[in-house]
Amino acid sequence: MIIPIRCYSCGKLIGNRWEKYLQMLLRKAEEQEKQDQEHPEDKTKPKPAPEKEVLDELGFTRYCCRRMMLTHVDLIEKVMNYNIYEKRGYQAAMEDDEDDVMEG
Amino acid sequence: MKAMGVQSDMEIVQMVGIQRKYLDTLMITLQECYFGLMIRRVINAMYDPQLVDDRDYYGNKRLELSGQLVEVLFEDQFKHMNSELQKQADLLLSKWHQSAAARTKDMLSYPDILESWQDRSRLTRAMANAISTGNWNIKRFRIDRAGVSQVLSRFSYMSCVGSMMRVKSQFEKSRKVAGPRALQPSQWGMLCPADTPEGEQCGLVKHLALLTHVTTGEGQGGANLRHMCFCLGVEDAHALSGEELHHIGNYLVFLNGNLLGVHRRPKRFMASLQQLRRRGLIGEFVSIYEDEGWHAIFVASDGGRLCRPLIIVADGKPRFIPEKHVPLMLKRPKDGGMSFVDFLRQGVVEWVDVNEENNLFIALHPNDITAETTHLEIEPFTLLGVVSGLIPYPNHNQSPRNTYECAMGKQAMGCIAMNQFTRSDTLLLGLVYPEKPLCTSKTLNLVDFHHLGAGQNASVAVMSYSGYDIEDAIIMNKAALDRGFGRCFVMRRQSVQMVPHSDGQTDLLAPPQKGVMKSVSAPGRNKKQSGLDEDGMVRPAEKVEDGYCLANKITPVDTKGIQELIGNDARYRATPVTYKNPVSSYIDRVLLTTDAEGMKVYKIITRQTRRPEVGDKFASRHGQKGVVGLIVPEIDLPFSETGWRPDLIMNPHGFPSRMTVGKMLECIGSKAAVMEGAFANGSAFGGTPAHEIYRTLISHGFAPTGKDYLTSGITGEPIEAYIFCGPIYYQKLKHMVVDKMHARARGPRMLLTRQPTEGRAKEGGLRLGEMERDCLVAYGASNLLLERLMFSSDVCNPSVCRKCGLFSRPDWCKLCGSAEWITQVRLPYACKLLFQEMQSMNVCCKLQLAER
Repeated sequence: MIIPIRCYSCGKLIGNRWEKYLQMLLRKAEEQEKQDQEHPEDKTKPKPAPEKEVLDELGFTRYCCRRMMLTHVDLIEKVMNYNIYEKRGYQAAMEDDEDDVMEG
Repeated sequence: MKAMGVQSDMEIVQMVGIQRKYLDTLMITLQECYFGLMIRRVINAMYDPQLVDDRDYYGNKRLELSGQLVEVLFEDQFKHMNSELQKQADLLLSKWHQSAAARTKDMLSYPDILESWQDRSRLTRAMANAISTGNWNIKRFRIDRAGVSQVLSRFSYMSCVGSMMRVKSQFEKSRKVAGPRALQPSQWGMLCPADTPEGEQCGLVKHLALLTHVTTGEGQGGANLRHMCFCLGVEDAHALSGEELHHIGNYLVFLNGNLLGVHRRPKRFMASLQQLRRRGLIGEFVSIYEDEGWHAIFVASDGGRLCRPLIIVADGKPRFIPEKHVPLMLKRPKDGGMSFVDFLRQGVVEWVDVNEENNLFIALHPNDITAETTHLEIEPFTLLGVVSGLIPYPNHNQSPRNTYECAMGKQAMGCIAMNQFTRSDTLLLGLVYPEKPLCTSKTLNLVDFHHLGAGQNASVAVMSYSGYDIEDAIIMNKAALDRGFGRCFVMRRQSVQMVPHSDGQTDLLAPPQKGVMKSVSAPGRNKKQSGLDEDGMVRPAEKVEDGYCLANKITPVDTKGIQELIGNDARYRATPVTYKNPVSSYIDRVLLTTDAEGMKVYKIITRQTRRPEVGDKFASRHGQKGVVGLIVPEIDLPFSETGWRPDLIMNPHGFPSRMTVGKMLECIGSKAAVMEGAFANGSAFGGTPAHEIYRTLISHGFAPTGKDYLTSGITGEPIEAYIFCGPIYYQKLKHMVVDKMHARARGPRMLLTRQPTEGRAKEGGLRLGEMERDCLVAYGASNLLLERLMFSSDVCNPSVCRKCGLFSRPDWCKLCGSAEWITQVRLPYACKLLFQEMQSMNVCCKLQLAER
């Protein structure tokens, strides 16, 4: 659902690095795209997965911590879209109107 | 024929050959011709038993799809509706015609039949009823089936998908006949060989393979195809005699089982029909196959056949050229991209059904193509179904283990859907931190399993530890459990309906009772209502325990007859809805809605978060299930040089007899993959080969065998052997000890037999069954048997009259008229009940008592 705070096996803090992990992955993907455009002949060469470099850079050496980041399914981003308590659209507008009426 | 009173075959011959009315039709109709063919076949089969049709061959089987079932149901109900309407119309009209208005031709009073038709929802109700109960009872076709429709199981995503791919056989009654339950060679590529339940339904319930399609037989079929066959040179059977039909070199041509005629150049006919199909001029699901034994060609376009796509091989080369076609598949349609339908139309791929497969030479791999090959398999792993795709390296496992995993994968907890927190399912189990498997397969990627997950990649060490891991038990790391490993949530729904009663009154919710400190009676009652809001409904986020009131519902009292008896004017009585479960929960949310009939319904969803404890069931993906045997603090667990500790310890004794080599490959494959930041490929027949995994492991400094040096956490000394460890995907199954643990000393008894009740929910006792009784008999423990079966269960002390042998009052025997012969005996109540029930049937069981 959401990234656990610590690695299950060794206890290393991982919760603080999830967003950074995603950002670095995005950056690496953009760099790769740029490289592909500049050097199209290198497109089919086998490259190491971007996750590997990002995990190494973030300092995850043991494979227990690596699997926490690599195999996490970030469902919370999708599940949040179904939040029934969030006021959206016309409901939020209605509330704003109410506030205005109250103040006025 | 026997039903018609025909007693021997001679009579049939006489009837057909001699009687006038049959002779009139000198032109033999197709029906009689077919009849003759059938007799010919029977005679041939008498001489050669091999010619008997195999009932389990999938070419001779048809699957019934939902459309056919609903069609049959609708037809029956529609006819009923029509006949009812007709009866009503007849009644009304006959009355009118007899009335005065008819004589005066007064058309104004002509009855409006449509207006008088009251029960218009009969058709809808019948269909809704059939679908909701699954009972298909159609009198016209004498169909009486149960379990036709089932509620989609939402235990997990895999159980949902698996239940949609299910194929049920009708052979429920024959338990011992092996034929329908066995694995058939003709199932290849059509039905999954591994996915079948164990036990009673073994082999009767199967699942579709990945690429299977079941034909529906609608559309062109019929007339066009017949015409096409005749155009291609089939000579009509009406114009032929028996001799000509069976002349050497003439092949019979059947269309959907009906005899069309004869063709003298069968190969040419078949080839041209095939060409027409490949060009899309006849339906793509038409199958043409030849049976050389019968000298017949069968063309089939009916529904219910199983078929799958194969790549066409022409001139020794497959029509699918990866270099050319793969880039086209990746493009979008407007850029000239190709999809499956385009491949079908261009003759690269075609649909082949089971019968046609018999005439083909199908190569498994492009390297296996020889001069005779006609088709190429798209992918060998499509032999398996969707649920079998969960298993990594299934081709390295002993096959029953794959079957067990197919059953357990459907019980694993995980994420069901993105809106799972908005759904109100009766029971919804989910994992708090689901993970996608490190060792995945192509099937899982196709099914989008990696978006949901149904387990966690546990750090596993395979070693013996502590002795609490005997018989497949597993040992867990307490710290891992503290950090969230294996945590699950259980959400349950309770509905409260506000039922409308007669004279307009409905159930209502009453506000909770205020602090009744003065009242002595039941001070605890207030606590039980503490979670309620002012409107009488429990508040979200409240903690409820066993016996707490969830909804303070009051029902109007039926005042018609009882008012005088009761005396008070209570107009409502309390019917509260309580939470019944020994474990406490939190209220997740309360939903207020109306159901289809306009009744107000409250749905209360409660949630429990459960941490794994001793007794919860876990399983890997290879049929290796086990229960948590012990939870060990992390300081006592062995650790590696880098600081890695296992989450889970598995007993190595689980490997030798089970032979699940796939699990070992999964472990080293996942270990290598996670160091590479990638996912391992554990597809059947195409997973990463072992030597590549070894190379990757070595490059990261691990031993290729997957074994590491670990230091014992208890003694601090190195463990004297290298331990096999790595990440393995473990699933948490829905069998948790807290739902099952049950004890009873003395408790409620059943009303009728006065024996202890059955089931955990009714605080029941455990049954000492017939087999257990036999064990006690074998020990000669007669007193123990007596104690278990009588004294602890339903002993009673009725009075029996010695003279008449029947039960009597303790002080007087009515039949004998005295109290002289009355004795007290000790009997199980069930025995007394049996005697009295038999007495009610006029069978007297008299007891003959002897002196002690």
